[in-house]
Amino acid sequence: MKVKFLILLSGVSTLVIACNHAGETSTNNLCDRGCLEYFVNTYIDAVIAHNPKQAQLAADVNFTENGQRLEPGDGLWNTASSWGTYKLYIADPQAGQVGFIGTIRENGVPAIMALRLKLVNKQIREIETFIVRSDSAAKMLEQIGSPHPVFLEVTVPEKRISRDSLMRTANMYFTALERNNGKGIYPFTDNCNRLENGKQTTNNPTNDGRPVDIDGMGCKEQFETGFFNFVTRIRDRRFVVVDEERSMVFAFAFFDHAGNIPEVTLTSGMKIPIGVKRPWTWEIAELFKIENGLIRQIEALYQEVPYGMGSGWSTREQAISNIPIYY
Amino acid sequence: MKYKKLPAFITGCLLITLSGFRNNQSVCDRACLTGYLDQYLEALIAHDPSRLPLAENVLYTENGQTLEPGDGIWGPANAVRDYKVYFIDTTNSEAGIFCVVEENGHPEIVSLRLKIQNNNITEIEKIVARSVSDNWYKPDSLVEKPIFTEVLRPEERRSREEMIAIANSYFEGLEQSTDALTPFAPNCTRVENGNITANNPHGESPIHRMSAGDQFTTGFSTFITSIRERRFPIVDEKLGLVYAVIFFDHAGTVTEVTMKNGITFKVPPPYDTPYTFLIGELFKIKSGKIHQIEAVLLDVPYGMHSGWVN
Repeated sequence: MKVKFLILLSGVSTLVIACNHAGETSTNNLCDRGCLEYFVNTYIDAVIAHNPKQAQLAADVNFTENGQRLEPGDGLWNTASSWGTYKLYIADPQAGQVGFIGTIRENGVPAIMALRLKLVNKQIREIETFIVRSDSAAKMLEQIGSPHPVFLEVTVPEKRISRDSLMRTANMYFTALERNNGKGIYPFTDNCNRLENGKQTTNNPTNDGRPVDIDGMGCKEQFETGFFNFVTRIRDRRFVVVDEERSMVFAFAFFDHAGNIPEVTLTSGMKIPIGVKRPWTWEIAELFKIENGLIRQIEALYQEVPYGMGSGWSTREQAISNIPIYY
Repeated sequence: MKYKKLPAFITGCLLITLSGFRNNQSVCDRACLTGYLDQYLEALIAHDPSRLPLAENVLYTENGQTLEPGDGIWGPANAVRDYKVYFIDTTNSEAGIFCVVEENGHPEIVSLRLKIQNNNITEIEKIVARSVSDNWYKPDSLVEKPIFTEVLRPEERRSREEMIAIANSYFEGLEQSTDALTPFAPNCTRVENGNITANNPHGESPIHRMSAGDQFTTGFSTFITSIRERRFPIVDEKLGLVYAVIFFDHAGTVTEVTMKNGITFKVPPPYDTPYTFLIGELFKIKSGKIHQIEAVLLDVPYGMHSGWVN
């Protein structure tokens, strides 16, 4: 009898796991971390299969790739050929959103992908993808092997801060960077590092004879120089996924360089000529790990887009504003 | 086209005169529309949009993005080079120009379109092809061509509708990969971002040595999967010019092309991944045939729109 009961329990457990994966964890429709990651995996499987019907898409699903509204089945859906080896998930059960940074193959060529899915009633209602089609960047990311361990660390409950505080801390990064003058508030841990398109751009000296080796500095030291003054606006700042359990914030934004700042005067007094002499915008996906209220680790994807472009998810006013949008 | 050579102050005086003329007649003729373009370029390099008669609700896009006048190329523009190709539509009161504008000394190939209503500029559409290191980008090679200023004899002209249909047949022929739809003149030449990409005896690629018509005959273009949002905002009936703005999509689904002569080639990157060109393209149409094509193009996110179509 006891054995039968255990078998029955086992069956229930299997059923629960299956339901979890279908987004049916409970009557309140919460999709937990495992469920959210399952949706990412089945979505990418469907993309590789070139078959939108294989994904659990809502009838009114909205889909963008690199800021452009497309029909599911277009864009990467046409060319994805297999998974890459790098995978990093950001889960937000409370909001029903999940983020992902990873590599993929398009017709066999490596690319980096940032993905956001929003689930409503066990279906994918929003798909936001950002594909950086640089095989060299994707290869660099894959050579790193796996995400930085801090992105996988669970924050002990007594050290967690509110969703709102997490997003506001992440936004301080953009505020500090926009027209950076070396005199702002720079909430970084001493061991903070940043990875951009697979390359570490902090504490990684280039030793190429530059008058100031920015990449060789730590996060805080970089900002204290005032070097990034040529970033004239950081707008359409959308903090879309908050992983409270791991103290992570996943954001999309646009970095504008108006091209009208030919030279930057550092806080040291040194004048540095700036190479960005034309209007230039980066579309950016950026993941922040927050530790004790400070930014501990950053991982970003970026790619040039037409100057002034928006995400396709904001109003015109939001798209041109540097006011943060907290999801 | 003597007005092209007028010094700035004379152009300004001319505009004042024309402005009065326009107030009475509400018609802006060729010289008037050309004057707006020249005035615009002067204001641009002065970084001062307040010098322009902008309508209160003027719509301005640069590379498909809505910006405020004063933003984008307005910031770093500091010179306009001599190369200029004008195309003027007196019927629709629109004016266009291909030119090279320097941004902090870097030459950028620019296509500019203005719409004039009630003596004000109501629409500004600009394509700015910027390139840092691409050797396929050759602003220094752009020269003015007599064919683009040649006035057509009456018997060489066609109706506006026919001109647009002929220009559209170019896109249709490319998209369908056929030479059956497009009336090319023999030796039709095409220049794209300063490169002669058809009828070029010195072309590095064999296909660039062919005329545009012969290129279509090969059926090479199947990797261009869609040519969409085709707009033909300027028709210059006097000069036989049609200006179109379009997007060439490459979905990345065609990775190999077999041409009509049986030769197969592998579609090179980046056309084997989702990839879109935003293009401003000018056609010289004479006696119903396309004689010359000049285009400004830049790559944009796949599937992007112009900002001018709902």
